[in-house]
Amino acid sequence: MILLNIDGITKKFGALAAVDNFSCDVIKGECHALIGPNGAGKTTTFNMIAGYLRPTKGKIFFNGENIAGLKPHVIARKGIARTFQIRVLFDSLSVLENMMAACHLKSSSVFIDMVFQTRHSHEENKRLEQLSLELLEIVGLSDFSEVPAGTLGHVAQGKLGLGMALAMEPQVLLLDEPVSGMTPSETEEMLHLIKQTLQRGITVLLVEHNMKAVMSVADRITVLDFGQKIAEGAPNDIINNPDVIKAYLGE
Amino acid sequence: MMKKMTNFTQQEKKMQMQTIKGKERPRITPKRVVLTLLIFALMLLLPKIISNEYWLHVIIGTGIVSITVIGLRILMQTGPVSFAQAGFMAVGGYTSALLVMKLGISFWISLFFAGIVAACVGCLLGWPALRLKADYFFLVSFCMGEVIRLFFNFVGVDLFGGPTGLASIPPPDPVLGIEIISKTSFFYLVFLFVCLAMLLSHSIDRSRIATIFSAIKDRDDLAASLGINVIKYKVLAFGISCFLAGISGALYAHYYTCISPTCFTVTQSVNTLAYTVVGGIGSFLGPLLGTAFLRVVGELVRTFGDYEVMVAGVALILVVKGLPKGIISIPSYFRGSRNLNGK
Repeated sequence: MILLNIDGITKKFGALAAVDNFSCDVIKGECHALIGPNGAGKTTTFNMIAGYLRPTKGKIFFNGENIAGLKPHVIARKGIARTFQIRVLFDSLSVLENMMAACHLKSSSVFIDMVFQTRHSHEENKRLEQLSLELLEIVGLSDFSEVPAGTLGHVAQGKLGLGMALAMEPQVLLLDEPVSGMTPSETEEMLHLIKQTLQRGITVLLVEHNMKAVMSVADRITVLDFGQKIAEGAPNDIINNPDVIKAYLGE
Repeated sequence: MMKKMTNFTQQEKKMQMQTIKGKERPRITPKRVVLTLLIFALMLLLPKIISNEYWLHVIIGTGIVSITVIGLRILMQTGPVSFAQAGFMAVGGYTSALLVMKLGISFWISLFFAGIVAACVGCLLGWPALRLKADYFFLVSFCMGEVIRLFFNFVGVDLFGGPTGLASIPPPDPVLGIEIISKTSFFYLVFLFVCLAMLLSHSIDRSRIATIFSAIKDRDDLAASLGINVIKYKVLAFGISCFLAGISGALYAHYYTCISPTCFTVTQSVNTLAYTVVGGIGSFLGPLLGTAFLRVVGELVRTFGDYEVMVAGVALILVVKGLPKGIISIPSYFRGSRNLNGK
């Protein structure tokens, strides 16, 4: 079943087409990788799916509904979560508070509730804290709940970012370079988490430069170059595809 | 899988947790309750201690402005900085004064309306403007404040009195048979509203709203990706800060008994911002400390005449340079636990 259908999206910055008439299907339950040389338009595509950029042209269907041009928080609520390329966290908050902010939508307390500290809001806070601790357990950060997120190491930040996206209970998870800048053993840890995510039935679409990591986790790969799709298929077909080799290594 | 994480020894981890903690929510401890009650008692006795009418007048002025400052801090918790707060004070002041003078409504009701009208104007203007990045919102808010001031200056001269403004605004109606005309009674009135504003600010700090506010301030893109409606919360914070500015403006109008557009110039907005920054936005007490500190410094250097502004400016620069988190952070320097992420 096609969960996410990207239908001919184009994004122009002035005269430059960062993404040019790009189409792609993401099937429910798969791990789909989006690769390509620097500047190929991968992150731009991500930003269009997640609502941070409005496509100049084209449509994006999620569960049959066109989500192109909707606001990021609306798209997030529909079930598309994302992580960011650079480790983006709420640096001044503790790890637990980061997770609680991620669980915010799960709370039924309204503003007045929270300000006047009603019993309902106390109960909701307790429930959210419990939920956050469980999620921290999943990503292996429960020992660090009181530490400010900004002081975490690189891998731990990546894990927290992933955990926060998981708190949204998304149907599709967009991972933007989840293992960039990590050592091989750190990459292993992160890939293990991504595989766990897939086992929970969450569809993953990821952008990544580390080909070894992509090969080990992706079910299908789409290759972008200069904003256009040049290949799509199983990992083994892709590494032998002459067009792909040309794009990466030149003639 | 957990190799990297378990590399820390227990001791190291403990140390890390002790020295650098995330933002702390204010907690209610017995020590704090006692301290609050003491300050409360002191404030209640203040008019008896200070027999000097002039200083009482300064303290009342400080109290009135501090309500606006408390409001501005609530907005700044979400990131944006507003330069328009004097404008919203004007909205509150004119609203309350006109309701009392033209329609004969009781001060206690008009005060509430002053806050509501200011909040509505704030939300209406903030809804589009808060979509801008913080620096641009700052510029737009500067215009907002000026436009509001000029509105009262040029539009509806019959109603708002043009450049001369409104005069002989009646004092608040007597409550429980007590007339609020003397400086002492006004002191208690303002004190009550400062306490209420502080209570609101403190409640927000203790609630999860504060977490959401700091989250939005840190990274609004990440907050949006978590389904948080960033604009809604920013408009909410701006609305609250305008509500408080409106209340403060109404108290201003009824205390000084006359208002004109010149009372609400950019200088007033600059001062409001300076009080907030100097006090520090890290704590709900910051705005009050900042306002009191700069007001008192301002009064003490009043003899310098034209140089008064300069002295205040230098004080501002010194505080911002030396204490980026405001004078509220001084105790933490003595305790030696400087927050490492305070940049």
